[in-house]
Amino acid sequence: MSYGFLATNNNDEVLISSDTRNLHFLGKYSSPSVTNSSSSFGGFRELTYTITSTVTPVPFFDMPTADYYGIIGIKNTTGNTWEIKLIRSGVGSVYPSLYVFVDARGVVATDDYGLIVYMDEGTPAFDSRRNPLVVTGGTAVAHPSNPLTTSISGLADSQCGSGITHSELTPDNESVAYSAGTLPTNPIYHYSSLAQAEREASFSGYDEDCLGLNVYGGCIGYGTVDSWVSTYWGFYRGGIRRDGTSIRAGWIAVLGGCYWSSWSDSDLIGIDVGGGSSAGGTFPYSNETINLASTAVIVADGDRHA
Amino acid sequence: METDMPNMVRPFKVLSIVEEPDGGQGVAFEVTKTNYLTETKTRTVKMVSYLSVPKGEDVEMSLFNYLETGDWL
Repeated sequence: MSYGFLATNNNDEVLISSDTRNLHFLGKYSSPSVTNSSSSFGGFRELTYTITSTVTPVPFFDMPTADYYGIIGIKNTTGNTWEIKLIRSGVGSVYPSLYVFVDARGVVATDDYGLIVYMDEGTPAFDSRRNPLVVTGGTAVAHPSNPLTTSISGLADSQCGSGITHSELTPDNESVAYSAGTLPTNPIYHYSSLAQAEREASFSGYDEDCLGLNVYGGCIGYGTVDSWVSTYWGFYRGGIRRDGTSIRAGWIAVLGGCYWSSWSDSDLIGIDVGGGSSAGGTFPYSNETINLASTAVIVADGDRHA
Repeated sequence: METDMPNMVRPFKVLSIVEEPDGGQGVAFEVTKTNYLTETKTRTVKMVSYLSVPKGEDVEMSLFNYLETGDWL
């Protein structure tokens, strides 16, 4: 850089540069719409915050409860309107506040005095009057591959008889505790939910009924066999939660369901006299965990940006 | 006495093992349990499912420990 402005700290890390854009506080949003929810498998809520911004917003959120949270989408719906979607685990109705930051072009300054650093094309890169973001800590978290550490068992094999009200697919695994530095009184976090997992368990059963003579486990005479299979599944997305002064990465169950099939067969003196079935194909996403790469968590002080 | 897993009668079977994105082992397995309902009627329940086993850990022992938590063993 032959001209411009560059401010660094004791570690030569860039604080302000005329070559890069700093983030500035746009606003705090506390009244989301609940756009999706479920009470199954621990429960979850999808919260949508609608904001107005002329440039791309970067959201931070606080964590008012011990549940898991994560940003799942930032979408420019029309003009300057943006929808920011956040998910939280559990069935509670306490929702986080969203702190939105944008580059200096998107925030109106009201003070007359301050420090402004311009990009070489004339737009502001930093403006002290527009409440610039101060990062106070950060870390990178990795989710455990298994959302479930307790074996699934006891689900009905016939016609999805256990429905989606059971708790066999409730996630129970989380990462080690990560330190994100000394947390302020009101920490706010930037974290995108990237990790995803799907788990399923097929329960099949069959009843053998011998209407003739049952000899050493074999049927002489007329026998019937009825079979069923029910496949229960859960879909999970990554989330973080605050654990004292640490952060843990775990799973939020966002969807669950079941599909089933059944068939009957019968035989007379060992000769098949009816029945049969067929099936084929695969599902596009089955028993996988993806996007397990370390994910950044950036921490700031919410009290500075209220 | 040391338990020798391969020589035990196991109600579970490993169907396939794939490498997961983080290097772990993705294990598809089935486990079976049979109950005798009456003298002429039996009910066999089979579960086919999946478990992520960290890289380097013993698959059979991990499955054994996992299934024990669900009363399969």
